[in-house]
Amino acid sequence: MVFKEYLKDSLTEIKRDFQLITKYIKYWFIILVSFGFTIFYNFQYFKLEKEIIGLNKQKSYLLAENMQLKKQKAVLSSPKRIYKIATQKLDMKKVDLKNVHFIKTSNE
Amino acid sequence: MNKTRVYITAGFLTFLFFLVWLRLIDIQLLNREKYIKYIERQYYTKENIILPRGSIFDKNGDIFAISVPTINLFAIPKYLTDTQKEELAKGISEIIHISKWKILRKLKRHKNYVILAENVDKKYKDQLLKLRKDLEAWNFGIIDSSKRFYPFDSLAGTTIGFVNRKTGKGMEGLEYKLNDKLGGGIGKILLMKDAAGNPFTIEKEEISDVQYNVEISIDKNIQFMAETALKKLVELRKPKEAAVLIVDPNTGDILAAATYPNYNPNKYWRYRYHKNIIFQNAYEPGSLAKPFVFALAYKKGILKDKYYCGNGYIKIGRRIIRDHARFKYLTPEEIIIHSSNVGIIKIALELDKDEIYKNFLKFGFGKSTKTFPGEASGIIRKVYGKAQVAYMSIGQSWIASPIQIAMAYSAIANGGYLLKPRLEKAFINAETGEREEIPVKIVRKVLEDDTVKKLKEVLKLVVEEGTAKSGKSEFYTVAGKTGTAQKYDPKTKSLSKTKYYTWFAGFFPVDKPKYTIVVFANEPQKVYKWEHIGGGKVSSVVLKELIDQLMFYSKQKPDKHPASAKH
Repeated sequence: MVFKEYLKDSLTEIKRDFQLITKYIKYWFIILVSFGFTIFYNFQYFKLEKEIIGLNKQKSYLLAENMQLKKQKAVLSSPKRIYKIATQKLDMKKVDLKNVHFIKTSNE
Repeated sequence: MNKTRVYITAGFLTFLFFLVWLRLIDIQLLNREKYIKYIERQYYTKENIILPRGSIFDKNGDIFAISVPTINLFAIPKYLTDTQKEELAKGISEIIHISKWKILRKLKRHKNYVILAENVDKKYKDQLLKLRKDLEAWNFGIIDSSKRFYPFDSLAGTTIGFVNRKTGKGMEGLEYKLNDKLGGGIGKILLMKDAAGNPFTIEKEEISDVQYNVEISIDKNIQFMAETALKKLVELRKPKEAAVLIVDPNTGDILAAATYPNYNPNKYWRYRYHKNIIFQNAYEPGSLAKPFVFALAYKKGILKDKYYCGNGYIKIGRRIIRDHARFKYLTPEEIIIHSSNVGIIKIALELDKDEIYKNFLKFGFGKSTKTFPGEASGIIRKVYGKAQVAYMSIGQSWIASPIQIAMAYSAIANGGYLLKPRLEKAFINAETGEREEIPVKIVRKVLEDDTVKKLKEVLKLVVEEGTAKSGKSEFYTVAGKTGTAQKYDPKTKSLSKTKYYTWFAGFFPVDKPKYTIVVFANEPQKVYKWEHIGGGKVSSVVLKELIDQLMFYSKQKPDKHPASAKH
């Protein structure tokens, strides 16, 4: 009996509290939406940041690769190397101007 | 629950939130810097890394110096198990091909932060990161760094200079001069510390200010030709020092600056001598001084038809100055062609001594051109007695650097204008690509047109018939002057009869000069015992090698029309 009355009182109190809560439901809704939006925004923000980090990493790798290629190109274009290939592998000789035919242009 | 209790609780909670909010404003806005610094001190440590520098290009855009991105490998061994250390050393050794024991020794000897390998090629980064993940060795890490690389090794080594591998800053040559423009140096990298204060992860890098790439006036192909020719001279004459300098007389651009000794900037620490003698040393010019005395006398109109050069010597006070031959009578032109000391001294003694001194100053002697770091100014002093005038006119008792000689002879070549030598042609902003050109700078007009014409005629004959004839070209006209200066011997306290500085300075082709060339040797040796050491003979090996090659490289037709050449 006592328990029944206690349950009834509690229900009445919950009902009253609920009425009070429902009175401010729009405020609750605004808070929840704000939280939801914040979570969504953060999710997007971190996703984008991750993407930027990835792209920066890729950029750094490509820059490093580019520098390495520039270095290799420079090494390959070394006059010492070209001279060695020309004289030793291709058996090329230095130009003898006696054998060069110079052509006169019309305005000379 | 009554309404009042709800309001009190809600109000209390709101107040607490308000306090938290105020605190957040304090931390994140009002005292943000203070707290960031506090966190950095507590949780981060800064480590030094070598920052990349701008590149140095030659006049054709070929790279002379480049900063290549590399990685440094580090570890904190006390957090690694013995098995991890073994596996890590083995893995790193297999990836970057260095000794496993070397790495293992470092891992076992050190407890805290230790660099395992420096300047490793960045292409291994992914493999190394995978190794870290596989071994779960989170206290093994990678830091980005950079390494200065010179693709042409020793080509123009003394001119380009080098960057200190520990500080990342230029120490010699252009690398030193252009420190402000090229950037580099030491940067800081922020590493997160653990509770014991050991770094374990990289947070951010501090990058230097705006960098410039630099385009210089050197042409790598001309530089190579000059160095090859210089090598032949060194092999033949075994001098203490030697140099070949090639300048564009119309712009003052230094196209090649070959020096002996030279060094490879990639391994600069293996060499003791890092000087560039073209800019940083000065020597007695010997007979190279004579055309400037001749020019002054010609301008003053005091030249006689003939000068008696006696028995090959002249006595001034107690001093006797000798010629290399007995010429008897010589015209003023022949005095230059045959390089007669007696003849030029007789001309000089007829001139005002102050005017001779000022004339040399006018050509830039005694003053640094400020083109290169640590550049020599040379020394030339006012003369008082006749003997001093005599020695000054034959290029003894005063000193000039090869670059000063080149600019003075360029003035004869370009119609009488003394130019400032140009080594840097443009600065290019590494980010925007914006070019800042360095203009050609005329210092002053130093020769009248008629004097230039006369000098060109005489200097051409020096090469055709005179002291420099052994170096003349079959296809191109060359004008120039040889010089041989006796070195001062501290043992005998007089001028040495066996040790010389030998020179050749000239330009070609004579009518429209494209190149000025200076060939210098310090104490060249005799090839034959009976041989007389002189600027002409010593330099001829270089001139023979270079003139035709250079002119062919710059697509210039012969202006001498030898019978053997086809037209």
